[in-house]
Amino acid sequence: MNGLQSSERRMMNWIRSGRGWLPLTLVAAAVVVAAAQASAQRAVYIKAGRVITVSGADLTDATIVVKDGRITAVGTDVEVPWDAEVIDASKHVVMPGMIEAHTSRGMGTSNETVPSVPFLNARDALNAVDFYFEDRLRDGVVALNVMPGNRTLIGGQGLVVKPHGLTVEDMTVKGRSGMKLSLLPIGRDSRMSHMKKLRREFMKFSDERATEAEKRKAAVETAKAKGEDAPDEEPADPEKQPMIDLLAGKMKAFVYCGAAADVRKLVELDESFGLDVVPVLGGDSYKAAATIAARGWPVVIAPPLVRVERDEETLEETEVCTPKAFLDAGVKSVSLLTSSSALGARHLWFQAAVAIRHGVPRAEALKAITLYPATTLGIADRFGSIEVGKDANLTILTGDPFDYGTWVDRVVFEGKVIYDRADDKRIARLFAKPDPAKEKAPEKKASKETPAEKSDGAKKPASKKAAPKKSGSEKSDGDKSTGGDRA
Amino acid sequence: MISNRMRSLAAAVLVAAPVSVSVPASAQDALVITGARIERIAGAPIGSGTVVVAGGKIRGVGPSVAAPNGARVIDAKGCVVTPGFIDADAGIGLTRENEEIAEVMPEARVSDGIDTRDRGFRRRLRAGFTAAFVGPGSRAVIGGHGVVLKTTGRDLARVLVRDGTGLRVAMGGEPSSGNRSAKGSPSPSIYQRRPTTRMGIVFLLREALYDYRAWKAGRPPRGANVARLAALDPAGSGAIPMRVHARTAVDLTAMLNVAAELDLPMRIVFDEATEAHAVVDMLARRKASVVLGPFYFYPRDRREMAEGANVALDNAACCHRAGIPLAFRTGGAMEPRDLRASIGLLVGYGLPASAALEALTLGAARMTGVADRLGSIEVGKDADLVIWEGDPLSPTTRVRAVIVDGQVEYHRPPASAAAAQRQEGNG
Repeated sequence: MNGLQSSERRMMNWIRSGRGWLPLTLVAAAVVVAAAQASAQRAVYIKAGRVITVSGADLTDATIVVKDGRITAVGTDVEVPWDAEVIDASKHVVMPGMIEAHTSRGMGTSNETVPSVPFLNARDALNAVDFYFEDRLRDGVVALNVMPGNRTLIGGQGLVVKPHGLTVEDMTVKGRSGMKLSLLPIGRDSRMSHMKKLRREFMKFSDERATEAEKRKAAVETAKAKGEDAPDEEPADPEKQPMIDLLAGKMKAFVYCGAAADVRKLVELDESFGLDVVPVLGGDSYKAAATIAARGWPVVIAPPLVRVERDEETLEETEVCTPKAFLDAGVKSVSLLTSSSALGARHLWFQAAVAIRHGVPRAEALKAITLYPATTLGIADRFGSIEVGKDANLTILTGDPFDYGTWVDRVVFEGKVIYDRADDKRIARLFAKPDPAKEKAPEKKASKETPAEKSDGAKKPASKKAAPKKSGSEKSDGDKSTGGDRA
Repeated sequence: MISNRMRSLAAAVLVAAPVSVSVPASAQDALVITGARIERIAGAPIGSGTVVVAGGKIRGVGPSVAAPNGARVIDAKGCVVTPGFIDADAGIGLTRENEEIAEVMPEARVSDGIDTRDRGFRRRLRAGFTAAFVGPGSRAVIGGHGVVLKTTGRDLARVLVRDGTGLRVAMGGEPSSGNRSAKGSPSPSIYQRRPTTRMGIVFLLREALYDYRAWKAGRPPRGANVARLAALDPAGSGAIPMRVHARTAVDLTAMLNVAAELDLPMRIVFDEATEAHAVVDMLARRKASVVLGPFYFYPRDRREMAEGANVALDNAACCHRAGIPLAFRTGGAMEPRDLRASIGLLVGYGLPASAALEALTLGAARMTGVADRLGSIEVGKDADLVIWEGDPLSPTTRVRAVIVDGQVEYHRPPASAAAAQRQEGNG
């Protein structure tokens, strides 16, 4: 206390003496600047070799201007101030950050053993430091909808997160994305009893909602008759409120259908209770594509994207690409998901590439991993395309998103780089600069050890020829010559 | 019948005669693929060339090869032609793939029990794999002899490329997993037998090979079945490879150590070899080969579930850099189309694209003992070809046509017909 007082006194003396005025003014000025920076960030200029806007045409050698995390300009004629903060992606491809519309990973056990638990929230189970999120970020994903799994009746609510941050609060993009329901029977239930239970739950809450509304109406009327002000609303019962919101259409219903047969039950639920439906479709649900298209639902497609259908009579097999089937039937919004079954299926871009292989137009395939899931999740005002007014949530790639040699180079969230491949230690060894001396040594050794036995003279030149070819695609990044000469 | 054929033969000669005299009478069944990029594998690719096929064999390949008259011409401009891919260990066509008579069962032959009409074969065909090695399962220490088949799904006589081209040996957890020692009353259950540990597996393998070596040296067999010893001979003498199913570094090195200890001229080909990257130097030194796959993305939090937990994305690249011959397998656990696309990703992880293509074709043909007939586009080899609509390793590329023995066995259906097939199902 004493010390403080004496230092204060000394400071005042110093200022009074007149010597302190100049430095004090400087300090004050610095404080003002810092405050200004905190409230209005300086603009960040992202120079891109190619911009895949998704909402419009691709741009070459364009600049994206970001202010306060928002995109304020995109174009090829943007002037970059000499002292501007620049994210240089001039040899890279910039696309909107990819979005996964449904996942039950990153939360340990994803379903409660009790079938109807609408009051639960995935937020309480989400493990922010799960490797899953680290991998998603590495794969160029900026937003995921984490929801309870498919082994449930009414499974609880989900939330949209970004795969970056140390706590759920850091990660949260949208606190409540919707309610998870499943039409896939659990345990030993048949589809009949599963549906019976679901109807009962809906009826219960529907009645509840009606009673609550009547009670409220009566209370207001009594107050009016007495000439009093309307009474305050009763505080919501947190256990009942989610279902009441769901039935009021205030929350989306993500409903898993494991078969085309389930889609009809979903139609019944929607017609009886008027839900804001997002079907999550697995199995042969694509056979009900016309029904889904007629209702105008956006769809989320569970992997695998390619199904092999066998004719029971002839045993002939045909391959069906489910996103193609939905688009052909007139469904307007198709969101793709990843899986861990095959090596490639962990990547959203790979899933989109598979759709392209089966005839989905490239533009639609791109939307299926960006704009469509953003719209489905209700975050399209901030995510899903590179447009003025949206958040700068971007994925910077070393090449075309559908080229297998392409890597996610950086991920930008609200104008800040949250992932940089150059700092990613887990995959660093894949990009270790090939040391020419070291590179040749093992090959020589190998050929020395197998002198007569192997007559694969053809193999050596082939691999040598390929080596620079590969490094070309990796090092010169945006350069597309590799893809071209192979095709 | 005969007169028909004579008539058409005469017609062919009549038509052909005025134009060229050198046209063979077999031009009728000839097929010509023009305008495609040709990945010959044996030799540099041809930017735009022609492949001529007749009598089920490749008759010509080059930038410009004269097409025989009357041949069916496939214009493949903008496409890529490769040799048919080979699934180097398919694990299909056997309803039960593990023989339970004994732990050491080299007498078992897949060709005795295989259903060549298994739909797995045509699935491979549609994905561009025209041949497959099928071996016994990996629940026995020595499981038996495998076979190489074409994937057209016809009778064994028509699809058989070669029988007995690899002897299945299994290391690691699988032969012992779930086993209990058969105390009390013996039961035929596969779970009530030895071995129950890695030590036991290696012991049984060593015992079998020592018996074989002694028998081979002229000593009387130590109570062992002579037929069994004889069945070990092709692999023991190095005529065919040992197809050793091993995932972990422990199992890979254990097998190599047994081989070194016995000093038999065995050729070791490891299947799956998830942890090969950890022991590449040893594999290269001992001249082992690897058949990698199936490829999953093991999420980090689930890796412990998989044997061979040390998964490296650049496993194939590491093996290639060390000079270890490569091939790929579905192992019966992965869709063949996913295998092909996964290999594209391996190229992203550092495996040169040309090495990947070679591993899918000639590399696999060498490892399965059929390189004299399959694996490259060379005159005289079987006309097993795939026409791809782009880069054969890209996930966006479709198969346009698959040709086996000079016949178009699969052609991609036109888009409109595919759309027409889809109808609203009523559940």
